Amino acid sequence: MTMDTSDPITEPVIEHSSAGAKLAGGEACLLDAAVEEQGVADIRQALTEEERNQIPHADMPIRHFRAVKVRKEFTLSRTFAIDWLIYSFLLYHHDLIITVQSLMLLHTHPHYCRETCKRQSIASSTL
Amino acid sequence: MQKAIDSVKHTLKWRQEFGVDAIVQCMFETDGEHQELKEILEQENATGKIYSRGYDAQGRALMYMRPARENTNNELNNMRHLVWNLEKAIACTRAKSTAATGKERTKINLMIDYEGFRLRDSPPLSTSKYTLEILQKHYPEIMFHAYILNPPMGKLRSCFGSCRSRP
Repeated sequence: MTMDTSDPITEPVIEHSSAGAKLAGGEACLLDAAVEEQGVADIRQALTEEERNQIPHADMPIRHFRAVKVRKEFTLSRTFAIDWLIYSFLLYHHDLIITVQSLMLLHTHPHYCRETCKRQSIASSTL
Repeated sequence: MQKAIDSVKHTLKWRQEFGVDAIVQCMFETDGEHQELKEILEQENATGKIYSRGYDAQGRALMYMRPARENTNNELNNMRHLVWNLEKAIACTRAKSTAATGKERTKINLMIDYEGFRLRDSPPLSTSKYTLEILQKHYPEIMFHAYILNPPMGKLRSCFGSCRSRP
């Protein structure tokens, strides 16, 4: 398979932090290196000769192996993502939440709210 | 382990059925089938809704997706265009990273630019699901980083703000 690779224009590059790189094009292993190597070997062994010849590039088995094996971590990270969404909603809309809380307080403890308002007005008048 | 083997076999079968090799080769061949595919890709590519430009420091291609430039409704042709761009970005990454760092990489960076995006530009749900299926099942672990440019949250937030400021 050949592909014209001259089209993209080289532009100023973005700096990335290069973490430790071991396997699959210098990328860090997601699992233990021995586990990954064994997994790739098992996948290649399970394929027929014809299927092995159809593999578009050498990294394909490791990509699929990681995608299946690291699904648990992905699920965990998705949980964190949902937590983060809730947290960011609270952060951005805290004024709305405070308003709702105040209204609820006014509804449940009207006397307390009236007293607080009185005290505040007295304090502001003395100032 | 069996899941990983099934996944690889399923992808190899899909590549044959979808005609990934024909899609990749169509720009260089002139026979009937390839010519037809070439015309389809040229039509899909007319507005530049997906393209690859530039690389990161390790030689990974930057693939831009601009949903506001959607110009067709044909789901199959949209997917062909996506696959052609993915294959191109991967091939560019392999060539550039080998030349730049001596290590052949296959991951790409995804830049989704929502500039000028309106809700009426959004593709049908089935197209979105098909896109996700291709990316998740047939190109797993291929994305290095994804960046969302000009996210359309401003409009949503202002809409929410107007609701919130009502007395």
